[in-house]
Amino acid sequence: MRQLVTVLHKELLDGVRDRRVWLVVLVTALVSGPLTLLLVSKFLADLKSKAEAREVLVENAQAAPRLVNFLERQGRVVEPPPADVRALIEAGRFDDAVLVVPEGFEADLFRGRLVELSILHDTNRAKSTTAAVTLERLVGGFGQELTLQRLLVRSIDPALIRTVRPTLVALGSSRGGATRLLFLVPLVALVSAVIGALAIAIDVTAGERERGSLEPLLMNPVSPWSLVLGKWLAVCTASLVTLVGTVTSFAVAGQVIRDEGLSAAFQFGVAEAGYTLAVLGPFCLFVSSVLMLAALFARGHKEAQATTSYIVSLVSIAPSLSMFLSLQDASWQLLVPALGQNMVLARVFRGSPVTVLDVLTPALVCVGLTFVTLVAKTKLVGRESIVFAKG
Amino acid sequence: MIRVEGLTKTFVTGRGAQRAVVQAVRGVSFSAPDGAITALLGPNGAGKTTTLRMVSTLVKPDAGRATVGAHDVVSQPEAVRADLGVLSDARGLYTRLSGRENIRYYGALRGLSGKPLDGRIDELAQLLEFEHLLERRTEGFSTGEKLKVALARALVHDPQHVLLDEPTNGLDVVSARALRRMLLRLKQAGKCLVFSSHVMQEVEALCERVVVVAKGQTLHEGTVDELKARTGKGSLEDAFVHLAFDGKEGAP
Repeated sequence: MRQLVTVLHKELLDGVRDRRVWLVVLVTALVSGPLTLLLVSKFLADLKSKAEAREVLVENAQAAPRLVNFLERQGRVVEPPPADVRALIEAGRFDDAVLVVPEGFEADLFRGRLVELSILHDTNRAKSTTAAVTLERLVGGFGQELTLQRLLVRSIDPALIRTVRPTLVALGSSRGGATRLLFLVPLVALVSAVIGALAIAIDVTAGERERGSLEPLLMNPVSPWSLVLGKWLAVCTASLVTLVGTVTSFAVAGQVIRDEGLSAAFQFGVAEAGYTLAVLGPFCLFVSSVLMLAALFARGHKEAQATTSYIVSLVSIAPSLSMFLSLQDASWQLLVPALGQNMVLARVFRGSPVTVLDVLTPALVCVGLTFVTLVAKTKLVGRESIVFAKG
Repeated sequence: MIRVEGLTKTFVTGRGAQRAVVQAVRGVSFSAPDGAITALLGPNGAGKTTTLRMVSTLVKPDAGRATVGAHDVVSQPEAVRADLGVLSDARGLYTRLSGRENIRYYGALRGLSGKPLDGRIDELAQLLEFEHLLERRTEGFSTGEKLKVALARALVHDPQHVLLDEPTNGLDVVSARALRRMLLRLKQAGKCLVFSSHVMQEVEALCERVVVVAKGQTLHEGTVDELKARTGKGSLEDAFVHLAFDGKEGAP
């Protein structure tokens, strides 16, 4: 036990004095949450302003006086698009949409023909797509007005063409839209737990060998368990500190950033922060252990960074996998680190019922796998192939 | 007392087509008594470092036996390490820790603490003449400065047995002299010292016993004078070249 404390104390002292560790922990913990929220906030504000923009771009507007009149009655200002708008859209440098009026528009309308109106936009740019949807809605309104007028002229009740009317009824969880953006928390917090542990995990394993200090260290009468546990606890500390910092910064940023759209979709308070820490805490223990095991086989810092980058990538895509593969609440995810934590937090945030087993299963999986990797490390740490591997 | 009897060690290097079996040590035997400095002499690749690693319990021998004091290196590795101080080929220090913190870490791992540990660190720093470096972080230390801290780290628990792998490599004259004074002091204190070296004058000046190793085998064990007499050479260097290289320099 005394040896374990000695190793832990040394590794923490060494880690605290390592500027790289501090920078990563500070930047990840304090900046990632607020920065993510600021970016999301700006993105939402931009979309909102684009949807509410008064200006609409219409090419060949002079050919459609009735359409222009309709748009102006909706409070819109009709503007011509830039001359090279198609080139700009193709180059991905245009954030708006353009309504294209064909020649003979008014004459075709007069003859009762179906008139095709194109809306040029860039599907890769959210703002352009939003503007296109707005234009589509406006043109639809213009068409409805024309239809209404034609029916009235023929003394036909407009109600005859209304056969069905869809109505959206929200039946989501009790927390409704207040949690729409909370999926960002596990997404960022999972990665921050890995990033926080990374530098120190490499330093206590591959770094120890690279600087030539592993061989003399192993010549001390120190048990493999004391050595491995002492180092692992130091790595866990860095991971947990980063996680706590990240979650706290999310909670603080959620209160500080005064944006109407953000506040409505990101209600992250003390209770949510507590749940996040409780669910992700065991993950920190696991990921610290796995990073150390991966770095143990590396011959130096560079090779260790390459090896551990796979783990960082896997953890960062886990929440996205769940989203894109529509895994929803498939219970097997509870057995997979990162996926399990992400699923439990998603359920907690949207107010779905969560059982004790739901919380305990991923935690126990992490603790079990941590134990297995720690045992593996105690068996490996003194091996000749590990101690004397050449860089 | 360190006893080594018929140690052998084979390494497998590379994979697939690059796989090669290297017999690094194929029967090294010697004994190093207490109160004496025993030199392990041999050309590069002779198996000196592997032999020292087997004695220090880091590498497990394929065959043969080695004991440090009353303890066997294979069956009692913890007991061997407890009574052994090793200055190995790898002398890496923790660059973000001071000299004192580096030495204190090893002392604490060996159960020392508090004033006795700090007193021992001060004593070693004085003997090795690096008191002025004790509180400085070891980042940027010269080779000699690093070696002094590494040696103090290896000796912090006052071991009865000391292994040194080419300790004077890269040292300036002043540092080498300080190291030699330290080794003589340890010898006078009755310690058992084994060190490998290429510097013949150093071996001649310090060592009572010489073990010549080449191609992984012991070729001679005895005093410097016995080695000279056996080869009929007037100097240790000539005697060593005659024995290790069959009289042909550069062709062991």
